[in-house]
Amino acid sequence: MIKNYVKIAWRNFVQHKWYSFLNIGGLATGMACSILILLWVQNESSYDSFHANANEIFRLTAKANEDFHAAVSPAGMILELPEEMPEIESGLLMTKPFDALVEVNGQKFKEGAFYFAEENFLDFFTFPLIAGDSKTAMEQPNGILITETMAKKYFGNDQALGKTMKINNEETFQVTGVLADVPSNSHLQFKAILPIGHIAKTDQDLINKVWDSFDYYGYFHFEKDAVASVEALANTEDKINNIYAERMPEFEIDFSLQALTDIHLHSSNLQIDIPGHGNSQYVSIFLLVAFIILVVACINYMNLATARSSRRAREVGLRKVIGADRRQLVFQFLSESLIVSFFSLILAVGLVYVLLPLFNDLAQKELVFRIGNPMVWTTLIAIALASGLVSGSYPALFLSGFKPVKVLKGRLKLSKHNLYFRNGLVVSQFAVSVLLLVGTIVIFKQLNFIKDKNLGYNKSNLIYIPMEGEMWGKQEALQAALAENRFTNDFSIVSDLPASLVTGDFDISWEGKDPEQQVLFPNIATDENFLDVFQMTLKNGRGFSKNSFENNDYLVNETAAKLMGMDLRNIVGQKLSFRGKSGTVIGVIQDFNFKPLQYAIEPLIVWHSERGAITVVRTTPQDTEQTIAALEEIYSTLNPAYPLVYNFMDANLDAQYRGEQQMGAIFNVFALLAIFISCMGLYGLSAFMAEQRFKEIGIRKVLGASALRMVNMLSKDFLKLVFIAFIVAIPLAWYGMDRWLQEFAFHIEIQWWMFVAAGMIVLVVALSTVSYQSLRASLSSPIKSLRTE
Amino acid sequence: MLLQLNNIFKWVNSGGQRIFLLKDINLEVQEGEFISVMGPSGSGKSTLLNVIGMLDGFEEGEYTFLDEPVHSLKEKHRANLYKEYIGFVFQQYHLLDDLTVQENLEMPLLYKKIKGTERKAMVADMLDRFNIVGKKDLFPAQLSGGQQQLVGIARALISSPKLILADEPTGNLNSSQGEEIMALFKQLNDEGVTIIQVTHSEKNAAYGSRIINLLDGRMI
Repeated sequence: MIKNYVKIAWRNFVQHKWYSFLNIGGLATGMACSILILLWVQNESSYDSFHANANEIFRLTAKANEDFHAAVSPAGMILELPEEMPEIESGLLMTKPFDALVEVNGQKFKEGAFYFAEENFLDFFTFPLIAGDSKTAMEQPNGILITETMAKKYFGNDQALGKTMKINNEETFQVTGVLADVPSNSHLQFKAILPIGHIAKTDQDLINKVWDSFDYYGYFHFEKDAVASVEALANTEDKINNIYAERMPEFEIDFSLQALTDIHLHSSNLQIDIPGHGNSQYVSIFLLVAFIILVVACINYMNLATARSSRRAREVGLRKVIGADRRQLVFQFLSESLIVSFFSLILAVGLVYVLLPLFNDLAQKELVFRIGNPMVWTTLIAIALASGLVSGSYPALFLSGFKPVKVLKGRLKLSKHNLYFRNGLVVSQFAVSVLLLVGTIVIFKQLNFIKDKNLGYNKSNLIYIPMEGEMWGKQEALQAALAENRFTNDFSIVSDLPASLVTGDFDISWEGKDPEQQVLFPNIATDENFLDVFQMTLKNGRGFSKNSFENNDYLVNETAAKLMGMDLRNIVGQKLSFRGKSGTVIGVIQDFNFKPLQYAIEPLIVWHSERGAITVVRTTPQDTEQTIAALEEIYSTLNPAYPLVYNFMDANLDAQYRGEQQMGAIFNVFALLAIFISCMGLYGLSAFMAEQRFKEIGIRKVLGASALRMVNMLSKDFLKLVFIAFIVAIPLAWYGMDRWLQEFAFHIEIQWWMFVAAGMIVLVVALSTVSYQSLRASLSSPIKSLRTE
Repeated sequence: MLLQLNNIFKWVNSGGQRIFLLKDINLEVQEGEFISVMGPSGSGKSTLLNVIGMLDGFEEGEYTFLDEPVHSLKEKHRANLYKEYIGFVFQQYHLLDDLTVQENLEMPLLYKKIKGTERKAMVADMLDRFNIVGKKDLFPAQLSGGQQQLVGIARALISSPKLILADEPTGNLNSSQGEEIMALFKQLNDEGVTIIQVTHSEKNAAYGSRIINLLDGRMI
C-alpha cells in the first residue's frame, strides 16, 4: 500500500511540476531557514555547558541599586567566602581582561584578552591542556598559559612549553602550559591566563583582601545540595548577603549568584562585565521567527493542496466507491505530504550546507552542521515529521470527507467553510509578513537612531590612544609634544572614555545629603581640555583650569545636580566631598551619554587630574592622516618599545551595538525570506483561483468585460485579505517592537507610517504576484474555457 | 432475492419547498436479473442507482440487501456491504488518471487488503479475460473510450460482486463500442451476475430481462 502511495505521489509530483516546485521549494526554503536559526539558537544556549561542573558553578554579582547591577565583586570576599561557607567547594578569582604587548624573538604583537586567575583555574574550569602539567602549570608566578593558536603564532611548530615571552616590555614569562583553543561557546574568551601570584604582592586589593572595592570576577563551585533547587539557591544567596552585611554594615549591596550557563544569555542587565555576551531576548525572538517561517511554509502547502482539491476530489470519490474507507484516504494524503516534507528536508539540508558560510558571516559565528550528530538528525526528522503532518492534516481531513456521489457528478463546488479556512491561512501569512516588515523597519530606524544620536558631545574625528609602557611616566613630555604640533594640539588626557563607562563610587557626600542614601556615581578624571576637545556644553559655571586638582574642583552633569536636589544655578559653588577629598563644584555639564544607549544617563562626577590613561585627539577629516603621522612620530620617540595603537571614538561607539546590528541583519534576511515564501504560496494560490474561475472568466468575456476589469475582479479578493492581515498585524507588531525598544533607555517612538510602509510593501508585492495570474487568465480566449463543459 | 426497496422516498428542501427525487419506489430484484432503468433526464434514474448502490441515502422507506436492513445499518457496515457485493460502472469511466491499467485493477484489492501474490493472480486473470494484457502498462489517457470502459468494467468485476450497477455505461461511446460493452454485460449476466443499468437507449434496454420506467421520481 505504501508503495502505491509513493508511486502516486511521485506521479503527481512529476505531472504537476510547477505545483511541486512551489510546494517543495517553499517548504525547503522554510526548513533551511529554521535549521540555520536553530543552529544559532543551539549555539547561543550551549554556552559554558562543556564545563564538567557547569551546573554547580556560579558567578557572584553585586547589585547596588535598581539601575546598577555589576558582574564584579570584591577581591577579599571572593578569597575568603569559601572559608566561611562550607558548602562552597572552591572559589576562583579572575581579573578583568587586559591588553598586553607580547614579544618573542624580537617579534612584537599587541594582544587582547589576557587574564590573571587563581592557581586552581585548570581544576575549576574544564579547559584542557594539550602541553604541560595541569598540577604545576599555575604554580610559578611568572608562568603563563597560552592557547594553541597563540603558541602557533609565536613559536610556529616548535614546542612552546618552557619558552619565554616578554610582556609589556618589562617582564618575562615562561610558558608553563598550552591550552586547547577556547571553545567558541565559552563566555570567557582568552588568549592567555597568568597566575594571580604574579600580582598578589603588588595589588592593594589582593594584599588587603578588601571587601569594599568591586573589581574582580568571582566564581564559586558549590556542593550540589546548596544549589539544587530555587529555594536552596535563594538560601545560599541569603547566607552570602548576611555574611557581607556583618562584615560591611555600612554598605547595602545585594549579592546574587548567576549560574555559569546563564552568563552568556542573561547578562544584558549587568555592568562591568566581560564583553561579547548574547541576549536571551534575541534567542526567543529568533526561535519565534524560525517557528513562524516553518508555519508560513506549511501554510503554503495546505493552501496549495486545498486549492487543488477540486482536482483531487474525483479521485477521492472514486477511491471510496471502489472500497477505500476514510482512514485509508487520510493515511494516503498524510503520507503524500510526508513524502513532500522529507523530500524538502533533503533539499533543505543541501541548502544549509551551501548557506552556512554566508550565515556564519552574517551572524559572526562559527557554526558547524553535523548531520551525523544524533541530536541534529532527530531534530531534522522531527521538523520534517511535524511539518509533514501539520501541512498534510487539513488537506487529508478535508479531502477524505468528500461524498462520492457529489464529486463524481461533474465539478465540486467548494464550501464556504473551505474558502474561509484558506483565506484565514492567507491572512495569517500576510499578517506575519507585515509583522516582520514592521520589525525590520523599527530595528533599522532604531539602529540608525543609535548611530546618529547626539550623545551630548561630538564623537566624530576623535582619535584615542591608551597609555602604555614608558608613556605612563612621560605624560608631561607627551603633553608638551602634542601641544607643539598643530595636528595634535587639540587633545585631552582622560582616565576613561565616555563610552561604556565602568567606574562607580559610593564615597561621595554633600551638604544636605540624606545619610541613608546610597548613590553610585560614575566618574571620570580629565585634564582641563576635556570639555573643549569633546565639544561638550557647559550649562553653568566654568571648566577646569591648570591647577583645579589642587583645589579639588569638580564638574557634575545635570542629572547629578538634580539628584543632589539642586538646580543649575545654586549647584555651582556647592561643597562636595569625593573619595574623601572635599572641594567645590565649579560647573555643570549638559547631560551626555557615557554608557550605551540601553542605559539612562546616570549622575556623573568629573574630577581634575594631571595624569590619565587615554589620550584623545580631535582632528578634522582632511587632516586625519597627518594627525596619525604626527602621533606616530611623537609616540615612537617617547615610547619606542610599543607600536602606536590608535582607534576612533565613533568606531568604538559603534562596536557597542554590534550585537544589535547583527541581530538586525539576521532579522532582515529572514523577514525577506518569509515574505518570499508567502509570495510563492500566493502565486500558486492565485493560479488555482484563476483556473477555478476559468469558466466564469470566459462567460464574462463573452459578455464584454475588459481584461483590466477582469484583473481588477480577480485581484480584489486578495487585496481584501492583505488588508485584513494588515489590521491583524498592527497590534502584534506594535506590542512586539515596543518591548524590544524598551531595552533601550533612548529609543525611537513607533510611528504610524512604519505600519503604512510595511502594509504598502506587502500590498505591492502581493498585487504583483496575483496580477500576473489574473492577467494571464483574463487574456486567454473565452472559447477555450467554455468548450470544456 | 437479492434486494428489495419498500416505499422509498427521497427529497431535498429548496426554498422552503420539498422537491421529491424519488417517490414511493417499490422494487424487488432477484439474483441473476438484468434490469434496465429508463426515463427522461431528471426523472431520478441515477438517484435510484445511487440509492441501490448505497452511495446515497433516502429519507423514508426500507431497503433490504441480502436480508440486511440497509436503512438501519451504520455507515461503516453499509460501506462493507457495498464493497463486498456491488461493483460500479460509470458513464465517464472514472479511472484513476495517475495509475496504469494494471494498477487501476489492483486498487480495489488493495483496499480489501488482499495479499500481494493473490492480488497479482487476480489482476492477471482479469487482464486475460478482457483481452487487455497488452495494455496493462498504459495510462487511461492512452486508451480509447471503449477500452477505458472495458477497464472500468474489469475493475468493477475484480472483487467478484453479486451486483453490477452501471450508469449509462455506453453514453460516451460510439455505437460499435457500445454494442461490444452491452454484449459483455449480457455475457456476464449469463454467468450469473445481477446487473442494473441506467440507459436512454431502447436498444440497450432490450439487452435486459426487465425494464423499469421512471418519471419525476415515480415508477410507472
